Amino acid sequence: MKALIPETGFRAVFCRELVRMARSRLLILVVFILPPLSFAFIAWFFSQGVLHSLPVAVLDQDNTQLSREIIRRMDATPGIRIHLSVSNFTEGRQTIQSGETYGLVIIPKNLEKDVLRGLAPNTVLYVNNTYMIAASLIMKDATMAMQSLSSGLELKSHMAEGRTRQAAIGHIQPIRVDVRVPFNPYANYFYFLAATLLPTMLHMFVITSAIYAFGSELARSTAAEWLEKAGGSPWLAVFAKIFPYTLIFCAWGLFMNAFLFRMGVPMEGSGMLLRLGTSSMVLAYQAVALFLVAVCANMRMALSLASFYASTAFAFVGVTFPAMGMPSAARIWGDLLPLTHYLRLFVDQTLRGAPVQASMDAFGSLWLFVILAGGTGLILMPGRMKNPAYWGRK
Amino acid sequence: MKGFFEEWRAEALRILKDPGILLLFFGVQLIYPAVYPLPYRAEVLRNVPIAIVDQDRTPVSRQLTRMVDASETVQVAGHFPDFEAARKAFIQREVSGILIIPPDFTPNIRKGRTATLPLYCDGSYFLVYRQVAMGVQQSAGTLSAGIEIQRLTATGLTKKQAMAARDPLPLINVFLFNPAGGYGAYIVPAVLVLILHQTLLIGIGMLGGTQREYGDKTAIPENSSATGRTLGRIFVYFPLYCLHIVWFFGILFRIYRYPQRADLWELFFFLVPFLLATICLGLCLRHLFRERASAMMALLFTSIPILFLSGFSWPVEAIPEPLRILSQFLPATPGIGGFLKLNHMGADFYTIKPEFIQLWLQALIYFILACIISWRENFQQIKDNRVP
Repeated sequence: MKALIPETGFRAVFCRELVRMARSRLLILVVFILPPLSFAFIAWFFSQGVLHSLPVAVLDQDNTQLSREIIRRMDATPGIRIHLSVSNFTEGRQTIQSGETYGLVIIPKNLEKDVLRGLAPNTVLYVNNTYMIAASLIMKDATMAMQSLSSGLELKSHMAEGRTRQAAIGHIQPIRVDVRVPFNPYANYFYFLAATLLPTMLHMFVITSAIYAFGSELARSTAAEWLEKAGGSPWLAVFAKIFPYTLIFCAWGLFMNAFLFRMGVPMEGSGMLLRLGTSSMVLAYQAVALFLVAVCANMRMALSLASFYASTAFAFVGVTFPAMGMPSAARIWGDLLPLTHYLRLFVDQTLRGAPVQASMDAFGSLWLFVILAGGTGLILMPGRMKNPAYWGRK
Repeated sequence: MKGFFEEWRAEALRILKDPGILLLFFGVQLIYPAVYPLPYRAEVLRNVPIAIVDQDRTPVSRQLTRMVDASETVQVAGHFPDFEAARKAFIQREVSGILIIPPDFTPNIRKGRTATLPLYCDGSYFLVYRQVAMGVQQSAGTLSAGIEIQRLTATGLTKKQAMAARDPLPLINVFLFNPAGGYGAYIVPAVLVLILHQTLLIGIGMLGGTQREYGDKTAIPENSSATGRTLGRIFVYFPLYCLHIVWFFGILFRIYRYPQRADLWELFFFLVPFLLATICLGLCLRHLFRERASAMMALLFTSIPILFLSGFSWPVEAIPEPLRILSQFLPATPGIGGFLKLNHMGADFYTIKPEFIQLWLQALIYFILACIISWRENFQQIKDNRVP
């Protein structure tokens, strides 16, 4: 066994790192346990996938066949569940404020009579826009239910005038927009959110473990021993040290993709490019970690900066709120995150089925991080490793 | 109560002497609120670029194009001869939707048939999809209604009668709270409460981790009581975070013009048990961190899951039951929920009584636990003193 591990060189540093990893509870947690745990958490959390049956209150001041039909139709939509009926507006508002319901439908007095008299009485839906996702779903479903009921009534009156059904439909709806969603056809929130959250979690593990791996050598003054194992070559020391992490996180990245596809995320583009992209993102964040450690020469500082860099990322990657709506400063900051480019590549290759060329700039950007951040790190790092002044800083 | 002042002083000194911890207790509160809302400064996504493929080329189709362009949510970024060309622009991310006006568009309207407009939306970005669908549907709806009313008035109805006849059962949608649908106003306040929660938990944990990793030179005051020491520590963080509350919700909220329906005192009164519960939970978890770096990482890894668990972005109804129960032990869940109800929805204190009680219960339980843990420190020290 001993003969397999030479005293110095790539394999020596590689094996030394495996031992360091195995001895550190923190690294075992970050490298082996937390990635699958976080994937499982997110998958479980969004396991319902499509939202349905959100509670809504109703105030029926009419209490006729038609008003009951409205309630029945709304309740029958996938998004809405008529949860309870209230006797006045204040009471309904209260159920929204307490979080018991997300909305309140108010059906006016004399609704049925007024419809028959051709007065088009207003039904009002109040939705709580503090919870935007729920609000927009309820609004969409309620509008659809009412429109189908309304055009049904209109259709009846036209057909009563002696038109055929088809002529009547053309009459009441001269123009119809046929919304087609070729990308993410099920408008499934899981694809959209979970697919983004998984790489977001992964990038946090990649960057912190790399900072810890490099930084702890300086913080614990073990850099000399590290360099010695590498036969005095600082670059070899860096490469051999990070290599096990690269391998493991690339494996987690592949696992993550397979997991997302299993959960039903469509794969319309190039699977090869996606896999290369995931691995490149891992490398890009390891390069950024090397850069931060080399520049700060202080693990605490590097870790603080990395935490800031990674914890604000989700707001800037342009998934929940797209980049086109951001001010340019936010867009530039977003472009300085490898995650932004990776997610662009991910969306292109999975949901959109874009050709490989369309994702080349995103792919190139990831490598720009590897080369620029990694290159600067490689230039600065030897000085940090050799100079004891940078060791043991707290 | 012995040991209150000694521990208060010791804990305060630990914070003041450590730049990293100072950054967490003062810097984060200054930097994050300045940086985090930046992407959402425009609040609402406007003028999403879409492609038009006009195969009809009539005054009606041009009118439709103008109306779509004039809508607030979309703008016409270009005309393309066919779908393939538009699709290329879409793949290149030059446009985020494709509206096709087919050659039989005007003929169909003339013949009294329904003219269909295929609209291709980008389902890969939820907000983009919503804005494009909304903008085009509204414009087409307005044009459609105009045509229909024209037809109805031609049969002798008045304009008012015609409008009633075309939609006998209208639905008016009203947004309660956050009426403008601002994205920043939706997400940032919850994130601010989360920042209070996370920096407290992690800051306290980081102090614990540092003590464990580098050894603690400030020994436990002799003959001190565990309760006294715990209270001493609590009263370091409590006044500091009261200041942060004033800074976040008294000053920053005004700068960012976020909705403010509760007065500051009311918010303050609600957040007192939130702070106490969070501090005491922090004191309980303090001993889990064996080194400084692990606390920092915990801050990073838990923030997103906790934000989702608090049930403000993903409806609580859709969260699996076990996770929902688990989330009830975190001060952030009732804290963010109650805060939004009080401040965003203008609820009165009676409405948020469940959250308020829950926070006090958490504070009580975690306080007792923290005292027990602190009590065990005595034995630890006695043991340690024997060893050398």
